[in-house]
Amino acid sequence: MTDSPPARPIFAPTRWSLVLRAKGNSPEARAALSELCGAYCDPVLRSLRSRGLDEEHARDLCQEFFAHVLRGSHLEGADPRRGRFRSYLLGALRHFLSDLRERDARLKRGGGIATESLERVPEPATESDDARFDRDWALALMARSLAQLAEEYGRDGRAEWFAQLKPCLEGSGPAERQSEIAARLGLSEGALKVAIHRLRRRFRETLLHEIRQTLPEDGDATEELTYLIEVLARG
Amino acid sequence: MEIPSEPRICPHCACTVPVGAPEGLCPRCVLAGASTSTDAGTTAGGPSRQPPTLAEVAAAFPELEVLSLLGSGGMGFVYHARDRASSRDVALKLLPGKLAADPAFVERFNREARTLARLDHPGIVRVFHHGQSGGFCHLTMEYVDGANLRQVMRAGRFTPAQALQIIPGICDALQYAHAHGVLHRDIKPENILLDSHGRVRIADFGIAKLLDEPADAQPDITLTRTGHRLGTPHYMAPEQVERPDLVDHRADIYSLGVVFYELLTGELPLGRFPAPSTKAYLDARVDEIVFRALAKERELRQQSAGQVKDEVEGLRQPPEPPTPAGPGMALATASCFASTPEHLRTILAQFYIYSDGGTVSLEAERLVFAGREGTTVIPLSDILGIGLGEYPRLTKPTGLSYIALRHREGAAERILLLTPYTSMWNATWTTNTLVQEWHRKITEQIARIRGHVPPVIDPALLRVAGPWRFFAIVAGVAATSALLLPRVLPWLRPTPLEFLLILVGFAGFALAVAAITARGPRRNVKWPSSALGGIVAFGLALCLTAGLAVASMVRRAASGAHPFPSPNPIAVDPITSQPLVIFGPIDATTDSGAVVAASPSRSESGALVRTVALGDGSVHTVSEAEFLTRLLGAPATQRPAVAEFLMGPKIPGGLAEDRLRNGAAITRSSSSAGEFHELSLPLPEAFLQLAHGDPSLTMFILHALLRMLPEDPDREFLFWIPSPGNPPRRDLHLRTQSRNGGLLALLAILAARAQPPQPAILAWSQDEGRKLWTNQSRLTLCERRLDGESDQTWEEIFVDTSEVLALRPGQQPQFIVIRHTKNFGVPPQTNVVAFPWPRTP
Repeated sequence: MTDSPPARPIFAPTRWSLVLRAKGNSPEARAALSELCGAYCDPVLRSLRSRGLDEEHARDLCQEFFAHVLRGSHLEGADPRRGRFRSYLLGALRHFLSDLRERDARLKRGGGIATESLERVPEPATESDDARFDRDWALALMARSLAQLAEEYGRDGRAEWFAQLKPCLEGSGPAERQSEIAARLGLSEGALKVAIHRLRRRFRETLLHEIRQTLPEDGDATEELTYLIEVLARG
Repeated sequence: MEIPSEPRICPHCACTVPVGAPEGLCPRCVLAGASTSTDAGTTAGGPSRQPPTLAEVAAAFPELEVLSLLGSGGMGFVYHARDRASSRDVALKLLPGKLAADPAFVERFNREARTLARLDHPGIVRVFHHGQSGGFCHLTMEYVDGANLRQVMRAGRFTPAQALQIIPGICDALQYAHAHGVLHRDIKPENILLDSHGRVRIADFGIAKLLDEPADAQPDITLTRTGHRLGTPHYMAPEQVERPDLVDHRADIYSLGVVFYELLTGELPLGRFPAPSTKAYLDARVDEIVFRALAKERELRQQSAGQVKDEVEGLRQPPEPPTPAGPGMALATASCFASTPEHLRTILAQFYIYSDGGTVSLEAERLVFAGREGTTVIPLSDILGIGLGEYPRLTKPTGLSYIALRHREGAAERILLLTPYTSMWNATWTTNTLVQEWHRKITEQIARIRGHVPPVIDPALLRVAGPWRFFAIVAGVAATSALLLPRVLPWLRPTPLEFLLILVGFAGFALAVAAITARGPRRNVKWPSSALGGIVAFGLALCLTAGLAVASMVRRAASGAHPFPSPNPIAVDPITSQPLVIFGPIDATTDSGAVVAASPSRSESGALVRTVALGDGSVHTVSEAEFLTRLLGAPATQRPAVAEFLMGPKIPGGLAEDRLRNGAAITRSSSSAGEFHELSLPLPEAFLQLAHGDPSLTMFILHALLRMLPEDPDREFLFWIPSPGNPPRRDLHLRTQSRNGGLLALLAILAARAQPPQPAILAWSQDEGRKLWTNQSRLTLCERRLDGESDQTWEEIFVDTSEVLALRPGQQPQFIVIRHTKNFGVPPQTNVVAFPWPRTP
């Protein structure tokens, strides 16, 4: 007898599956894609910055990239059953950047172009850049889930609970800390344990839900989670 | 999003938390934490069945608004629902669907559910309704908004203090239920819930029993199988596994002990589990509470849940300084062997070094050894010396240590040797470590009480004699056996079965003695007392069998009968004093006198005498009259024996035709009357002369044959014995239905003896393992050898006739005694064959 997890059918269309199915053409798909892009612009931005761009240029380029993505031109060839949003976005970014370099080179051959455009063109991607992208992706995912959880707790008027309990998401921690938290929240230690259990379960659900949004319809969210944990462990 | 100014080190994985990590939390640990489900355990225990969908359940229970599936498992499925009438949240438990089809189960279910519904305690999840609906037996229970202990343990290990807070709540609920006669039978973390206020609520009271009882009507229903799977073995008391019908509330106390142990250590108490205090920082008194609850014998556990609660709450009292225990509270306890230097000096100690076994406990001011032989209490103030020593290496070659305690007992001084151990099967060095640890504990405790360390015992007091006595015993036994066995065995002549029985008897005797005098190690062997009695009885029965075997041997030896068929040394060659091995047709192992050979001769006075070799090895010379009276004229009851003597019972199947090369033929034939042997023997002139010259021999044969006739009217004898009054016939024809190889062979031999030299076989005989034939120049012995499992080959041994021995040199021989040495086999074996020697005309 535990509190109920929100009833969420496993095979409900995820945002990414909506996008894939409509090849980005329906208004619904466009909304979903723009929502996804909004959620994961951070890894793209970081990726651009890590290629040697300063903050301002990176932001500009990021804007440009997402505008490009939201035009949906790359989605035509996407297989609706396969491919996750993460891979799609990374591939799109790579293409975008190589196009950029080509354009740049063409301009140079054309002559009379300022050297500043050279600075604007990021370095080509390397293996470690891809790994970094995935790592940043995991962080973005985690941040998004945490934010959603914080919002939920805030809605229930328990923002303080979330603030106090969130360190427990890392692990149980020393017993003294638990006693401290229990005292601060005015809970018994048993009640605290129940609260921690709930937080962790809710976090797991939220996280898996968020992951599912970036996967095709029958994608395995736990598999993606395992992959992201591995990526983090390597970094 | 908080971005900490400087990188933080994650306390869990010891990695640097990357700058910009959400909420400053370690992403690895957070995501890894989320990757394992916290709900594990709710689906364990049963075959995965598809739970009914919410819609199906809602259809079956219109009065409820079914919200979600909470869990599923062997116990069925649990749904979160809301009662439409009262708007109360309830948990709806559906028992496995098949059960509702079994009327016996439904009846029992209703009975149990009524009992459960009466349980009203804040620590027990209440049962509101029960019944059958939509093909399910269901229980509607209080909905507990919280988590079960398993889930909570996954969220973070319990500190000892937290565990000690939880246990009394469980005890209260159990005590209440036990007082109402309800056992839980499946106490485990999954069934212990914590509500959102952290209060304990126990769920699923008695469900395990309900599902565990086999359905009478349908013994093969999955219920039984499911039921057995339901019990969670690690949490089940030993008696619950072995005798499920005999469990009482103390089984719940055992399960509670397991939960307690797991709360404290995060592990299950499997095998030889360590004390909780070695896994977590806690009061050593907790170990004792947990160990008691986990005692294999329920009598040794706390006898009620309330007692557990009292003990746990008693821990809140700070331990008494300076010693952490009051009188009677053990600081340490262990299984222990005990011995004394006096015991080690006895002969028994050469085989078993301990004089007692039991439990030793170190208390604040005394040491208590509770053994089988009694309890020894040694006040620590009375200890005069302490030391470490080793048992004699002869019995403990790896050097087992003991603690020697010299102490006052009344006016006397005694030394006690103690060896605490955790398991009899431990390696010596493991036990030695424990012994050293105990030595340290005792020394420290004495020092604490008396302010100084006790003196070390003088090693001279512990010295034990060397192992010479052991070797003397072994040597003595070996020498006695070596001396006695060769003398006793030939006299007793045990059969292989008797020999085996005697060996088994010895083993039985040892078993019985061991069971009766069992001490020390047996204390930890959980034999039911009836089994012990059974073992003693079994051992004694084996002794009795052996005794009967010995008695039968002695009786037989005294009566002179020997159990083995020939060839066996049953007579002594009077010339060489070697044992005579006599076999073949003239070896008759009879029940009456065991006559093996009888040969007529004339004494010096001219009277006709018989030399008779008897089975006991004696050779007698008796008068003809006595011979006839004693053997041939024996009472009717003994006649078959005499006949047997003549017939040679050791020749299975009689004689084979091909071996008679001297013109005689023995054939086997069958008719409606049965199987016949026929001997057709051309009587040579010499035989006729022999018969003429020796009427007694003729009479002997005649007597024997005639006496057989009335006993077996079916036999048909056609014989012509030459005599002065009868016209001589040139052949003898015998036909007999019996397997009278002996008689026929005897005749063949007699015929052969009278035969002038000729290359044909003169004599021939056979027993199960040998064939023998001879002509004037050569004696051939053929022995069967077994090659492998079934192959047999016959090996011919040629015996030179110079090996023919004659009895009474210088006189008329009565036996022909042939000795030959087998040229195979180690050691070479000399066999002697004896035949009666026919007199020359």
